[in-house]
Formats: sequence, C-alpha cells, structure tokens
Amino acid sequence: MLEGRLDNLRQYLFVIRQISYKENKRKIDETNLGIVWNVLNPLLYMLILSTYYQNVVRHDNVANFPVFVFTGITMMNYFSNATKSAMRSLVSNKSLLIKTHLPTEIFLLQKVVMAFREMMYSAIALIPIMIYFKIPLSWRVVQIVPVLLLISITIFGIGELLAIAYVYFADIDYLYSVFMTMMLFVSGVFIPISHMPGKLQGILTYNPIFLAIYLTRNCLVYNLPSHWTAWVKLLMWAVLAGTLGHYVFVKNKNKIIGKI
Amino acid sequence: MNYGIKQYIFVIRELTAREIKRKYARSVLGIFWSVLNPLLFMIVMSLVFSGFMGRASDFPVYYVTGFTMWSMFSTATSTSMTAFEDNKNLFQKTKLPREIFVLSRDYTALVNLGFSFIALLIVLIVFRVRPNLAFLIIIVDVFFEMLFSIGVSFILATIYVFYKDIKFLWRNFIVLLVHMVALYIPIERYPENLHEITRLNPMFFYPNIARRCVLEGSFDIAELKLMVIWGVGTFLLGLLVFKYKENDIVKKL
Repeated sequence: MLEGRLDNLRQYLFVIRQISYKENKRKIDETNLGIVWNVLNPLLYMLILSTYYQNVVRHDNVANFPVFVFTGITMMNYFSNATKSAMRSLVSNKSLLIKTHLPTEIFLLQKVVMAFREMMYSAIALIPIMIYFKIPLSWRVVQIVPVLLLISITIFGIGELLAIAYVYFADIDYLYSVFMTMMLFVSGVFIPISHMPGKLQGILTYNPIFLAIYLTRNCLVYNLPSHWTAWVKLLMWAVLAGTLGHYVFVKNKNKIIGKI
Repeated sequence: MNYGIKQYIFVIRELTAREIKRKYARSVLGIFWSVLNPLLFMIVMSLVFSGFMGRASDFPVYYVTGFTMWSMFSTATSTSMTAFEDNKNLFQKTKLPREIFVLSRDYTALVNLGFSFIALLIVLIVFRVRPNLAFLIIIVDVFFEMLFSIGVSFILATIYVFYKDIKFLWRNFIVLLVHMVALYIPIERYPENLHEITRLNPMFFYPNIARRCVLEGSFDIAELKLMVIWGVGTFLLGLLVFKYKENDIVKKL
C-alpha cells in the first residue's frame, strides 16, 4: 500500500520535472540569459527603485534601503509569478490535462515549484549584497524556512482558487494583474506601509505578501524579533488558503475538464 | 503602384480588427477593458499615492492622464516588436508594403488609447476639470508620441528578427521604466540629481505635456520642442533602420 503510494509519488515528481524541464528549455531558448537573468533581475530592481524612491523614504530611517527593496521585490516576484502562472496552468496545459490521468493539482504544483526555484536563483544575489552592506548573519536566519513554507502553502491555495476561477471567467486575468500592481505598492515592497493612509494600515498588516516580506527582512537583514501576531496571521493564511483552495479545487476539478 | 493609399489603410484596419479580436478572444468584457483598466488602476493608485501630492484630488487626474499616454507607448512597442515574425506567411506571400504589419500594431494601440480616453473623460467630468484650449495640445502630443512609438517599434521589430532576446529584455525594461518616468509620484519627489535626466526622457515628457494641459491648462515651449524633435527624429531613424535591413529581414524570415 505504502509502496504503491511512494511509487505514485515518484511518478508525479518525474512528470513535474519533465514539464519544468520542457518549460525551462523553452524559456531558455527564448533567451540566452536564462539563470543569469534570474539573478540580475532583482538586482536591477533594487538599483532603480532604491534610487528613484530614496526621497520618499528619507524620513523613515529605513536602514540599508537597497537591501530592504531587494528582499521585498524577491518575495513579491515569487508570489506574483507563482500565483499568476498557477492561475493559467490548467488552461495552458489543456491537452495534457485531457489526455492523461495525472492528478490535476500537479500542473499547479509544477508552476509554484518553478517560481520557487526562480526565487532561489534570485536569492543568490543576496550573498554579495549582504557582504557589501556588511550585514552579519544571525541564528534568526533559520526562521526563513517556516516563512517560505507558510507563504508557499498560501500561494498554492490562492493559485487553486484562481485556476478554477480562470477556467470559468478569463477576465479574472486582467483583474488580478490590476490587483497585483496594487499589491506592489501596498505590501511594503519599497514604500514602507507607514506611508499608507492611516485607516488602511491596520488592514494592510493582514496582507500575506507584506507579512512574508516583513518576516523575511527581520530574520535575514535586520536580525530583529518579529511581532508574534505576524507569525499567527501568516499561519492563518496558510491554513485558510490551503484548506479553502483545496476544498474548492477538489469540488470543481471534474467539472472544469468538461469546461476546458 | 499596385496599391493605393486607401487600400493600405483598409489593410491596416483589417489587421487591427483581427488583432483586437484575438487579444480579447477569451474575455467577456473585450475591448471594454481598455476603458476599465485605467479606471481601475486609477482608483487603486489613488488610494495608495494621494498622500504624495499637494492636493489629494489632483492625483486621480494626474495618474490617469499619465497612465493612458504611457500605455499607448508600452502596448505599441511591445506588440509591434513581433509583427514581422507573427505575420511571416502574409509577409512572403503578399505584395503589401512590409511596414504595414508594424503600423497595424501601432494603430491597434492608438485605438486602445481612444477607448482609454473615454476613461479620462469620465475622470475629468467627475473631478470637474474645466476644458480649455490647451486640451488641443493633447491631440498634437498623441500624434508625436505615436511617431515616436512607431520609430521605436520599427527598430525593435527589426532587432527581433535577428535577436529574440530583445522581447524578454524589452518587457523587463518597460517594467522598470515605469518607475523612472514619474508616473506614480510627481517628479518633484524624485531626488534632485535625477530631475534633469528624467525631464529629457521621452516617456516622461509625452505624458507630462498631456498632464500639464489637463491640470494647469498650460504648456511649456521647451517641452513642446522636445516633443517634435524626438517624435520626428525617432520616426525617421526607425524607418531608416528598417529600410536598411529590409532585405536581410526578408531573407531571414
């Protein structure tokens, strides 16, 4: 019984790897820059955003503003790339979905894994940055593991909801991209949320992207203890998004195959 | 001459109609998104950024004017880049002048701008911005921005035939450029040493001329000069690059 399950799992992993490989290859065929670009991209963001917005945060006493921007943008990109590609994953893998008996979740999982990997490449750039800004590492670094785990579960849950919605209502793509543009500004990626209108600030601290960025910064860059409520809120997100996403997905998964 | 100018325009129209249909093939609201998009962005951005402006009520107008002008450029250039490649078949089979494929994509962006101006109009009415004669400058401004975009489009489309990475690079460049043209926060909030270079950036001054007309009802001669020079200059350069490489493009495709 267990043996069989493990076998299944191994097969799924194989499929994930094959799809990822194919996609990666296509991406790399499209550009010769490939992985180098993954490292370079957040660095460019860091450079531009921290230069152009330095006056905006002048009075906030943000220490190491470029690193602040870098951690923000890397997490933001992960969230945005993963959820967006998960949303489109069912429609874009249409033929595989209909022809094969793969579990539908695989297609989403593969997208999230891809985005995660890209984030990891981006994080390589963090090493020279930390050395340049003379930021020491502390034991708090290990906290990054639960942060990434929780945000990834949240992403997967949200991705499941979006993927289902996208099959029925393609316009959600436009709506979501407006929404994500807004998130870039309100998640404390490069503008601290203390700049937001007072009434909104309270609500904004419930935003999972903000939470993940805040926790990451505290453990990697600032070596500060994070507020315990931030951990609780992110945990709530993972549990809620995870279960709700799964519930909706399982309920609809057979229906959508007909719809696609 | 096998074709008259009327026929060219007809072809451009047909290609444009196809473009729009394709873009919104899976969408329910279709082209209506061109109206809705700027409005949605405006509402969202106003929530975030109104604190950064002197008068909070100015921000929606500031933003939506800049956004529509900016979108025309970004859509025009990023869609027309692949125009030759996408129309490969038509490219070889027909005797159409080859410029038409790029022009039709640019024209599509202009049509989109037309719809987005509906959104702008709504915003102007809601915020009681009085129309004035300076508004006529916007039309001139759009014309020159279009020339500029066409020039850039030709250059990009030519490069794309030989070097596919450009698509990827340009997409990322555009995303970064948004933050360098005072689209979200007024230029006064940028660091002093960046003002000069920002003012010379075409994608700053084309939207800015329109913003100035709408918000202040005035214009700046120096800016208008830049508008004409960059528009005409880039247009000619683009055409030149394309003409120079045209034969190579045909061979390569």
